[in-house]
Amino acid sequence: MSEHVRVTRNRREFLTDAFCGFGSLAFADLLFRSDARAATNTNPLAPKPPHDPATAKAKSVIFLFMAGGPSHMETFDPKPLLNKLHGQKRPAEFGEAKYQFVNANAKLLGTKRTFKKYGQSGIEVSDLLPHIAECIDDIAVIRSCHGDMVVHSAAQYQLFTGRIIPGFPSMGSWLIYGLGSENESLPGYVVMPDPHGALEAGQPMYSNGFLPAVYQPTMFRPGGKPVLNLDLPAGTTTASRRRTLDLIRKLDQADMKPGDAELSARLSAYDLAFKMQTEAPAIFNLSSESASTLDMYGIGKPLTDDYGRRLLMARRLVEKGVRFICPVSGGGPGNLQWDAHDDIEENHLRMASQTDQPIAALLKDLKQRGLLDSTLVVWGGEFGRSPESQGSKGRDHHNLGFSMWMAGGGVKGGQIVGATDDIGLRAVESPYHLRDIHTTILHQLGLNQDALSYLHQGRKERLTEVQGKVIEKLVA
Amino acid sequence: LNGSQSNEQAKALSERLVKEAGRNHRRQVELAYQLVANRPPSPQEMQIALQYLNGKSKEEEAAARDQFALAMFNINSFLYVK
Repeated sequence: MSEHVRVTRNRREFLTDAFCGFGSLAFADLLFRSDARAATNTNPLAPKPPHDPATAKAKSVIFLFMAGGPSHMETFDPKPLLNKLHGQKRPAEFGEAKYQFVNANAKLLGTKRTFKKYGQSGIEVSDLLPHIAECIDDIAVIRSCHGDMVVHSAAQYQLFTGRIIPGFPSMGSWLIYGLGSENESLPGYVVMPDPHGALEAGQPMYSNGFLPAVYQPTMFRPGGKPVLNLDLPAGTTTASRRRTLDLIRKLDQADMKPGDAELSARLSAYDLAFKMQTEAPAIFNLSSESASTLDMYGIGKPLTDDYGRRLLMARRLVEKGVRFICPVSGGGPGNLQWDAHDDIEENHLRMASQTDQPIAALLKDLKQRGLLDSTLVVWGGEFGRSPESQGSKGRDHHNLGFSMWMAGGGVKGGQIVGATDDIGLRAVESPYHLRDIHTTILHQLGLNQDALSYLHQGRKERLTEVQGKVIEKLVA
Repeated sequence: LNGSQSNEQAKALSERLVKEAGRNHRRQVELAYQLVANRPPSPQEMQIALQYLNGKSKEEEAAARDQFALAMFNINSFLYVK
């Protein structure tokens, strides 16, 4: 519980502590001495060793969030029986399901997609994702995911924070809380939202919740300037900025009482700000990348330009040791997400054409730079889509069985984990809850779901809430 | 420090310092602290500020004063309530 016992820092805190019991003073002192990290490093974002170095294969995570819920039946989970039963009601033997919109009279909807076996592993991928299919031997497809909620916001909270309500820390915040950040001049946790707009669950799904504010995400802005005001104003040189910062520091030091730890922390923050101003703009400048790399990500082509840029940026951030990066595909109104209520064909063809090539490029690029082994790439949405049709050609939300995949970061690629039933309704073989996905991500980073906890309102909170399983088949 | 608003405001403060305190650096610093921190500068702060402002060529003087004004918007006494 060291996070809640602070070292007394000033007279007011001393008096508070004294009123609240001298015992805690002595205890705080003991803790301070016993925690070597606290004694030598007061930066809460300093890199920390993982709980279990033996399982720590990955250093960074890129979560390719497919917002709105991509269909498993149109991507990674072929269901020939579904096409045979097209237009009929769901046979009773598959059981019940609760949807947001479609009711008991809805008819099953076959897919227009065709599937082919790819790679050495021969895993079937649909013609929606021909580029990702080329990387299938590096990918472990989890066909038996399930979550608890069938509406966007609650499902998005569960996907990011393990809970179905806002207020809990996202996995990115948990990771930098557990492992710190490798890079002093860049944020440790970055979200790159879709330029079309926000999602149903809004900002709280990405946030640090009750974890200290240093673990909050840095939200990049869409377009060429992800962070505002990084560039020096016109006419200001680096040298003159350095002199201005020196002036501020000297003026603050002149105004400082001896032993003011908070102020001295703020003074060192100026040095960090200066470092960011000198180093960060270079990260955002993609012109140092070769023409063939830009081509590979589809940068310059209207469909793939934006998402391609964000994924290339993600690779550059991984190279600099950024811990958790979440490029979001889908934003704004439902049909600009993967939320294909009206027309699964139109929606998924469009969403796939924006993301397929950049994602394959990211996997290949990480691999050829030797970064894939230490970078866990996770693909998925907050749920899948219904085997039944909504209207005549759309699909509703569906949380009982859907696909996600992982690649790199010590995950054994070229395999399928789990299965849904023959119409894709329910995860029946080795079902894995979203909390098992979280547990597996933590495991690949060498973090233990029990040890990674934070005392909040009298309860040791953690990402997985109740015990999650590591997907054993996945971790080679 | 880089935002357009803080830089525009700094320029405005810098111009006001000249208008109301004249060319004398000591009086400029006094006025700046009075306006920004609502207190006179300490002798040590005065010395640091003068060190920064003094000895500049005619061309550099305005730019140095603008930067001093920008710094004033970033000192602790301005940013935080004690």
